[in-house]
Amino acid sequence: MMGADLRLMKNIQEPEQVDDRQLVAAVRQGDAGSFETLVRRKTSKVYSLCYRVIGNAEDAKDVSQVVFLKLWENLGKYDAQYAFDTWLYRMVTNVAIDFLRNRQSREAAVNSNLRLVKTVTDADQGTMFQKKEVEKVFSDVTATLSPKQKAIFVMREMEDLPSVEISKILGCRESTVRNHLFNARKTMQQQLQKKYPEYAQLWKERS
Amino acid sequence: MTCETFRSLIVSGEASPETLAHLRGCVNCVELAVEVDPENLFRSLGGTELMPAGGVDSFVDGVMQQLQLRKAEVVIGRGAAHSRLYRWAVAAVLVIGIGAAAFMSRPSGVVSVVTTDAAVERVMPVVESSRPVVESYEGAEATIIELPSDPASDMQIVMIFDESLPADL
Repeated sequence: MMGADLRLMKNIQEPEQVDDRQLVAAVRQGDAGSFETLVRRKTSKVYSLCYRVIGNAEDAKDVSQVVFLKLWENLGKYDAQYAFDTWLYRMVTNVAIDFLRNRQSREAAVNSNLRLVKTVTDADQGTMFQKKEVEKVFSDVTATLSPKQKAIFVMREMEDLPSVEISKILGCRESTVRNHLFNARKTMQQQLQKKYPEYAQLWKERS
Repeated sequence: MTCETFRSLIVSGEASPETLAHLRGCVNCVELAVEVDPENLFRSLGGTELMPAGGVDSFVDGVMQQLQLRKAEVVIGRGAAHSRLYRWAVAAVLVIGIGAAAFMSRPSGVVSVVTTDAAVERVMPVVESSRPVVESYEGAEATIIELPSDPASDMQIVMIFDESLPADL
């Protein structure tokens, strides 16, 4: 399920001479080149979040494309007094959550009886926590989370965003974010126990 | 950060961006990290920036192409709106024109029929100059009936029955 042909991007740094806000201002004045620069600059951020929330490379790519088209359509609404990334992340989470809701309603029946079998072989003993294996576990364990819970968990634990930033992105209170996180962890723990007892042994109750 | 430093930090519960970076980059340390905090299992997936298959150039090209399509759709949409407007305008002009013409050509008041002597005098010579048409008919088996007529009138109605005549005469 998880993308086999993913390419990891490390240490690719674009010289960011022009501030995001300046680029946005240029796009508003009709400069298509600035929009292209903006897309190039934000592709990895947008795609990473989409991929982690959606869990499928092809879908994440399509959703990312939709995000940038929405960005172009709504750029006039951006208020430059707020951080551009926060505004962009809000758009990404909204589109990704919508996508997940639609997909969940389509695939609920299929996924309800799915049990992924741990695929670690003897040869993998030394590297039990292979990324792909963990991705599979994550995808399965989070399948029962609400799209919003999953998006919050991803933003907090994988994108390393602080709760206060997530609350700004989602337009809710920080306590709501913490509440969603608490419930997400609880559900994931139960799912892990049910579907992957071998991993769940590691998940001890924490106070 | 070395594995030993990481292990000592993670066991003592000290998390930082550096320890997270090590967790995500070192397969050998993940197991210990998960034993300390199981959520490190999923934290190990994060951090790295991912790129869509095909690379950033291909992705950006795709977005820009979609954007061009959207722009074209908007232009066509505007054109369609203009042509709709144009058609409505033409229809409105026609309706107004026809309405105005009908309004202008309507009878302005009561139509009066005026019969004057001069008018009668113009018509009478035409009536007086017309002559009755007299035609003869002969037939061996014909039956001719003359209907009684007003003596004051010069009109005579005659019925002719003749089987030798064609039916559609």
